[in-house]
Amino acid sequence: MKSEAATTYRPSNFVERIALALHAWKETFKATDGLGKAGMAINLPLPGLGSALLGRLEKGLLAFLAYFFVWFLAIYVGIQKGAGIQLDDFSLAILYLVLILALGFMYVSAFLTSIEKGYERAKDPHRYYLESFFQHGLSSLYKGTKKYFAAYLKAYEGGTKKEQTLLLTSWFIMGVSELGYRQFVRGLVYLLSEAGVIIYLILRGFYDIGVLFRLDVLSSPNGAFVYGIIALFLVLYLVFAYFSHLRTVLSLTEAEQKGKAETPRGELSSLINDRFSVVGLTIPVLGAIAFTIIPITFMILTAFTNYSLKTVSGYENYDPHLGIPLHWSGLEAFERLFANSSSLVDMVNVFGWTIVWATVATFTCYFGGLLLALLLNKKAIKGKVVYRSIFVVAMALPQFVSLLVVRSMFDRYGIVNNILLELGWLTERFDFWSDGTAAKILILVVNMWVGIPYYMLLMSGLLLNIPKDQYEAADIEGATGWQKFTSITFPEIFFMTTPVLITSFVNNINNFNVIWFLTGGGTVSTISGTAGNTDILITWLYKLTFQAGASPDYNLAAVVGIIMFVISATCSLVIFQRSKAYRAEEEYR
Amino acid sequence: MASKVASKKEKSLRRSRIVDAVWSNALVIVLSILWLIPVFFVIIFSFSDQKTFFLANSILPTGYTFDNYIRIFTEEDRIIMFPHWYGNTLILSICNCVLVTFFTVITAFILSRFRFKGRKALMNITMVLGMFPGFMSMVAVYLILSLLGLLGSYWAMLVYWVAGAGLGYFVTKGYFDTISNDIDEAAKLDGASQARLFFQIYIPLAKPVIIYTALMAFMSPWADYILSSIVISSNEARTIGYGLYNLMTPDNINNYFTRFCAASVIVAVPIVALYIGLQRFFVAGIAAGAVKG
Repeated sequence: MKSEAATTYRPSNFVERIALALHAWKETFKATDGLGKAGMAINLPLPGLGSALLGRLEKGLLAFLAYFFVWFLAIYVGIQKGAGIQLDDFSLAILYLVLILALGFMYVSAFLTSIEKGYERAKDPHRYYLESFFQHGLSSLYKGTKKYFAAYLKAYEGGTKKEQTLLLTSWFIMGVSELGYRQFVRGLVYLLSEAGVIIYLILRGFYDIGVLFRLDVLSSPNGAFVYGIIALFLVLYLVFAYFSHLRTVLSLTEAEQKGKAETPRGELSSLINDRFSVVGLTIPVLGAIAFTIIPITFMILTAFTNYSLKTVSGYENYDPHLGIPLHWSGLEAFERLFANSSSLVDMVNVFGWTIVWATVATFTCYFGGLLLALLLNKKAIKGKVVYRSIFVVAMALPQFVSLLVVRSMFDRYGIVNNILLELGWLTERFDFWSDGTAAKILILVVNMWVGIPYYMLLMSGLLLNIPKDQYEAADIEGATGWQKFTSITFPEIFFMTTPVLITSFVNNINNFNVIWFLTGGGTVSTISGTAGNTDILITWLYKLTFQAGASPDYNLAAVVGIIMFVISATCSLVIFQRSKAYRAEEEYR
Repeated sequence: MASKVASKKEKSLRRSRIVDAVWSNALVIVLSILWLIPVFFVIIFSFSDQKTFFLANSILPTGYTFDNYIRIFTEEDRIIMFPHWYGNTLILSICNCVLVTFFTVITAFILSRFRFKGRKALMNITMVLGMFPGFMSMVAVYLILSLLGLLGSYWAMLVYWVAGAGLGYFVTKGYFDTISNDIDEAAKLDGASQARLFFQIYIPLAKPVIIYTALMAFMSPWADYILSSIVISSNEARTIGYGLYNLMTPDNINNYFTRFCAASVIVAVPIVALYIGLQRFFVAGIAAGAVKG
């Protein structure tokens, strides 16, 4: 929001901020033209749609779609509950809390966006501020092509015979022209990679791409369509390399014509200078494509197939000998997750517990670590190094050791039960891990044991960064310890650690180890369900993929994965992009 | 009168300070004990002369012996192959430490120091990729590894980790970002190449965070469970986490618990020593990661 008022007047509290935003909206609405008014008005009930109207095309439509989906989900789950499906009240409450938060966020951000866009129109009603990635991409492609051809024609007409031949050759084969200019490294890279990729594509790649269109050709639904994706990526590589090769040849010709031709030696030395970024990033980028991007693409596509061997809802008559051929099934897997009552129950329960787990785990460890660091920072404590090392031991122990040991301690026949029986606090053995509530509380407590030392180290590092003079000033003013904490220590630490809070919230959503090693997801409570009572999304995902006996449910797992991704990506993108550390990348130098 | 009040005030201040000191020390001691209980539990049971953790009538083991330690090194059967697992994990973690650190640091250096087309896009993409739960794509990783003919050996895990090294640059880059630009301006004037700049100036300057990165890379084979459970089929090729986890299944726990404890102690001692020794680099690393995200 870059309206005049916001830059001149800084609101100090929440109420003032709201009043200011309302005021800004009113003023902008008065000042803007008809289209601006329409967009701003539409954004109130239908967040995103108005923004799209005012030029923020894809972002606005996406936001509107998300908004629509959240309402749909809220109403749908409500109807299901009304229809008598056994949804746990607590999990349902958590789900609704999250949905309401999401809606609130959408309204607020659409409200602010509409002020911004309306203000743009008020300033200059004759210009349409289009912020469309699609349009931007197309126009820059057009401009780039035009520029390329202009330069190409100029170089061609002014070129020698050799240069003309090399320029023409560049259209048909990659690398030869570069070799003609004695650029051996680039020439060979282009030539060899082109030859290799084309041979691979002819030998099997094109067939694999064909399989992508008709999955049922695959003899068994074993996910072999990953090869089709690999082939698609290779085709993408060819296209990308072709264009960058054309540009290379053109710029080499231009350099030659200016008499500044690059020598082979010059090319070699540029590899460790200007092009060091290309050289250094090659392997990491290739690795990321091969083992992260291609697998993720595969996983996302899996959600739209019937890739699973399990006999569920539609497939009761599944015959293992005949088998159902793999095929694209659209949104069937999504539908199954939400329409099938047992998987809806699983979904709501697991979602609720995931959110509770991630929130509580993050905050307990964060504040626990902060308090412990403050405690260890006290002057009165002698032997700080020793204590700190003791806590580091807990952090350093491989998690499977510490967690499995704690699991056995709290086992039905473990030491804790023995002690409690001895003391007479229990009359019979109690199974901590299969009782849902007890297991959940215990998981959170054990997680504090695992997580607090990490935060303690982090916080003690950060406490050193707080300027001492602030405390001295506070001492002169006669501030109490608590006042110093609330007005100096905590705000400083909180400011520095906002990114940490987000990352660790996302990490906790993805925290497989603690849940898996302690309870293995717990006992399955719902009839015909697959999720245990302490399963979070990620452990449920693991079960669906690898554990469901001999009948993994890959497509359902992919849907759960996509949902998880949407949650963690929205959380972190929204907050990261706003955080100062991300935006002010250069400021630290 | 006034001095009397002052001294009284001082006295009460001193008293409250003493009370505070006593309380703080007591609290720290209690917390330390709490944090050490599971550690003691492992150590005590690693010397137990029984096989299981279930003790009918007592809380602590009834007899102590050094047998468990000897047996994990000398006896191998279908279930437990500790020397194999330990060797695999050690080789893997050393290779992983060297390669992953190298690629992570070089990626971080380039993303922090170079301004090239598509840099911001690359950083945003890697951030988004980091939010996909890793093993969700394991089915595809499995197929790609089998295409490369690596399945069944622990080198497959190394390939997977090294391939992912470029995605874990955030903390290291955050540290590089704090190094002033003036240094490389000066070095460039002297005609040093970017590669030399990297190896001779930045690596020494970024020592704390490089040690942190190396420590993390060294640790990942010891902490891994999922990858090993998917990629590796034969018992002797397993890494330590997956191998030891299997000793704790309901079928095995009663026979192998104390040996699990002994093995855990053997695994934990060097790692804990490493952590305690490198504590300050660790703090530097996470602090850099915290401030810059």
